Amino acid sequence: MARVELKNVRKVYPGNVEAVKNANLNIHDKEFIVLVGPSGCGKSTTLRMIAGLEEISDGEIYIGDTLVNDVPPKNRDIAMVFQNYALYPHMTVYKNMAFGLMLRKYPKAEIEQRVHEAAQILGIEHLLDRKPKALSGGERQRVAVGRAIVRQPKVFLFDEPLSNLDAKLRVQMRAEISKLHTRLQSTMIYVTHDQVEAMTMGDRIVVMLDGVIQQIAPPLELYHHPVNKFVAGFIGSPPMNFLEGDLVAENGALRFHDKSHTLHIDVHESQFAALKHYAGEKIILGVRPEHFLENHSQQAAPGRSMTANVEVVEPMGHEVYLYLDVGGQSITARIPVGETEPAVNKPHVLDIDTQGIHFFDIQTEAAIT
Amino acid sequence: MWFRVLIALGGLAALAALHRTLIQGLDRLLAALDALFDALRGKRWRDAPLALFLLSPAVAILGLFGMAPLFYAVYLSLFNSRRPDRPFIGLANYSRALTQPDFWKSLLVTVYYVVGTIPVTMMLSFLVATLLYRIARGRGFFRTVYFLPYITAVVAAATVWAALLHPQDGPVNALLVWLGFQPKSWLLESRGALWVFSGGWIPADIGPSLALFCIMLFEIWHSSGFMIVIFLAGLTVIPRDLEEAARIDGAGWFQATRAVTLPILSPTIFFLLVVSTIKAFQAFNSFYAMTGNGRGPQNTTQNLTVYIYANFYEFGRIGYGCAVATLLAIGIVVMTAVQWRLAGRRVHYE
Repeated sequence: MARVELKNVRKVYPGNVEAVKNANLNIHDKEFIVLVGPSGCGKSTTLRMIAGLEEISDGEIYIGDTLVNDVPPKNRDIAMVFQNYALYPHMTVYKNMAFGLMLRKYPKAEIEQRVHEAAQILGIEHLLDRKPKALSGGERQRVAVGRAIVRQPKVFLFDEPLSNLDAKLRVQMRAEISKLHTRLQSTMIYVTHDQVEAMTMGDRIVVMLDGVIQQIAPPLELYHHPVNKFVAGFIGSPPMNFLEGDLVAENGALRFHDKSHTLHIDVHESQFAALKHYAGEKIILGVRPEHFLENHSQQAAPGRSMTANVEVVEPMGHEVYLYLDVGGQSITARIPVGETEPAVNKPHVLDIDTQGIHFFDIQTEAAIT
Repeated sequence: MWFRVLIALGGLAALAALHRTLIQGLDRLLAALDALFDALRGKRWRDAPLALFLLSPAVAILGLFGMAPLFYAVYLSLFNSRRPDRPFIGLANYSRALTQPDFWKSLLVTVYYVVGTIPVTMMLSFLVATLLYRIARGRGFFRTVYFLPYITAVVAAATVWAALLHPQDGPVNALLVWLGFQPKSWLLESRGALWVFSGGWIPADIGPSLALFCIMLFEIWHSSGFMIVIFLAGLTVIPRDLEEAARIDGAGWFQATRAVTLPILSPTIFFLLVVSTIKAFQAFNSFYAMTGNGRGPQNTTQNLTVYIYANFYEFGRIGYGCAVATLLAIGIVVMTAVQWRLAGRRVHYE
């Protein structure tokens, strides 16, 4: 097992396209780390550089204590699961899994034992004689994972392994990979564009945008303390609501007015110190959908309520998503199922949990804390 | 004046009526045809005339230019064409061919040619294609350069090669002499290429003659472009992550090629093998253009096709020539069937 370290790693493609900019990342031994971000953010490139499939333009990559910059993939002691499974179509499942061991000249008995062990873990023993084309998407993905397991590598790399599966299977495989990590206790680096996968699987999450690492943190820290507007908006579903407005000092208190001056929010005392420098300036307010609370009396309380026009009501079973318009800005709220459902095209009063709101600098978009 | 206007209007009305009638007529005709086709389609056995009608152009072309000459050749092979009364002699032409040393010698030349060109061309083309596949810039340019020989007329290119290899005036010999080697007789040399290149160590009558060797080199040069293009097309459809998975699994270039690329390319390889074997068995143009008569020095480049040609046009043995041609066709069919049985089983279709 091993730690993985990236020091000032850069990847520049021909045409001076900088895919990864100065990445620094320290992945601990046995850690499950998730690289997440939108398409083209550099997460897959980072993973491929760790695998050795992409040369790095600058910087250093360590696996264990070895500098692997010039080590070919086969000598890095890693295994990778690809998005399109990358199973050898002409080989049986058994041979697909055994191929890496055969190339490394393992004794036949050991190959057989390892393949059967891995097949048993993944529940694919009955498929060993089949060829990939006779398997379903989920089964193929298991074989691809099996091929990685049998090698017992120092580090597992997953490149969006679940994106070709249907939603139900994805949830199932997500849990299985997490279980596998607990069982194998090895270092795993997992790339996804799906923030739900990131939140549910990772010990820590690395959020990337435009080749830059935005934040590295455990899931809940990322959720509660995003460092900037991008991370705040990317993590969480439905995403955080952002409202632009002015921060004003009134009678010794700080108050946020939205652009249309229909919304007035009192700043919670805990955020005072950081925010007072912004008094009189434009600022971005961030509220997660669940930080809107149902106001049962439908009487607006000054400084912590808002009245908005209901545009769409989406009952989800245990809760309701409300899509509302407040002064021309669209927001989403997530409230528990009440006795009566809010009416569409009618004003609705919601309270705001002022302890849960975030503020961002309008220029840098960095969180103000 | 009014009278003329009336006539003009009447004429217009008549034209409109005629037009309408024509349109309606055409409509009815099409409806009738539709009904006819529907009726034909209604019962399966009634499909036959329509099917035959639709197939007739292809059947006519294939029958007239493919099947008829073939059967006619088989028919001719049963007669003695040298005698004015052309008597029926049964399979005598066949038994004669099988006992003629010239026939067997031509077959040997054909086998040398097939065995000497196809594996080399395929391996070389595969190698060039994999190299071309790896370069991102200039791939199209090099592909065109390699493909150029294939689109050049065989006779023209072969004549140029013959001039290059001319024993007295050819630049190849001039280069050899300049480098300090002995000039060679190339296309005029009947002794074995192995004898020539081993400095006399291997007996002169073993293997193809140097003249045949030159034709084989020409063929490799000429047809590798085609194979490179086909291999490149085959390589581009192999997903890149398969190669990457193999690299991570621990395969070097050679192992990845042997265990992953080649099996996936097997349908392409099999196609090229079958097509080029058939083509090599029938090779004629390059033999004829490079040696002047196809037979070469002491008949050492006389393959079966040249042998058939000589019997037809030089000796007027039409029946005998047809018998050899039939034997060649049977040979090709058997060869292809064997390839299908042996290699076809190892072909992996996705």
